[in-house]
Amino acid sequence: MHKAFLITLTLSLIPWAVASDDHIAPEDYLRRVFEGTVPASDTVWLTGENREAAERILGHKPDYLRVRYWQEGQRSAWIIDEIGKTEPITIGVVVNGNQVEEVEVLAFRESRGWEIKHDFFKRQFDGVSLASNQRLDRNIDGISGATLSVNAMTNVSRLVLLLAGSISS
Amino acid sequence: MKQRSLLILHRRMGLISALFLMLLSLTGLILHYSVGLRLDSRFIDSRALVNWYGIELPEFSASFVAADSRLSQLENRLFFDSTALPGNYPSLRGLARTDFGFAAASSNQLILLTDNGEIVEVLDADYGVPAPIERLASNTDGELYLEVGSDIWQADPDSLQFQIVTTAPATLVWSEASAVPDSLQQQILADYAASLITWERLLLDIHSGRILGNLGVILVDVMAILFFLMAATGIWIWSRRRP
Repeated sequence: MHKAFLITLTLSLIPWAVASDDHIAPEDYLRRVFEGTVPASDTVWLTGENREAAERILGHKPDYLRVRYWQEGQRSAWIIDEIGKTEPITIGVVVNGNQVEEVEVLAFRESRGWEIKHDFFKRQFDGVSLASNQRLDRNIDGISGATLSVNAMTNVSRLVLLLAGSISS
Repeated sequence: MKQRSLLILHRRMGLISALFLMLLSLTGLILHYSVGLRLDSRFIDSRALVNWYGIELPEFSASFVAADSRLSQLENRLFFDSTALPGNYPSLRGLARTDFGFAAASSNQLILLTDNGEIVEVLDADYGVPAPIERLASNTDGELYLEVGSDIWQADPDSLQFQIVTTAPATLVWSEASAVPDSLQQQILADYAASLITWERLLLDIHSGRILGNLGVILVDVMAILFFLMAATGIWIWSRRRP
């Protein structure tokens, strides 16, 4: 609770902050994640149980049937677009084993909710894994005025953990 | 002004503004729950309303056929036969049959589709797709080729391999634009018109008076002044009646 308060306070103290149009190219992102040498991509299909689970997690039918990922050992990187309110947010998620190693916003196109790009928010996802009910095993504190973006990032993390689990099994 | 005259004025203003107040309260109340009710994604299927807003339906900018299926573009939206694809797309350049279904090209994307027109994946420059794409072609093996400027690129969307070829295979069939049949046009336009105005838009415009144009906005302004005067005269009458 106090964390949510601190987040709100922090944001209220920087009203001049505006959404930046930073765009991280997937290639640059992957090069950073894999420290130079990016492995070849692979794909996982959203069909059958995967599709039903994806629909349950996202709260809507996914707009795509195939998700691309890059894997090296136990680590895999995923890049997924998810609508915040009206525009897609491009989100990168790195999974190590069955835990999220990091999340990143590669492109944010909405006019509101850009606060999810801040490190203090993204750090909350470090080390989260999927509980048995396909929810994250840890609560993610929201941000006032960015609820839909927070939901998008949370849901994408859940989806990626599910898919990463399906390819490893 | 005598208190009796003020009371009559207060009552008349109350009567006039009552309906507006109910309308504003109701629309305001519903709009307050707009996100929860998902009013911004619920559309009103009414051509009369589209006409009332003065919205002119756009014309098709491009349409391509491959293996009896047609992909058409209306503004930035794509329709596989009569079904709208999710998302927005720049200029459509072609449609080709592939071994997995279909591939479509916009000016800077490769859109992979199943036989039923479901999107498999959308690839763009971030995944190595060259741009601006002018034309799309496939050969008898379902291999894809893109014309980008004066170069011909061979595209393998599965492995994300895109490379310039010095000589294009002679068996290439370039996707050619064609006119959308009238019956399909009418069907798509009807669906398109039904996805233009959301309940949120309508309620906001009723709430602000914009549904009646500038006159409506002035009317709501007049009502706002009337509400203010009602409150002021009400307080005044109440204060005068106090012992």
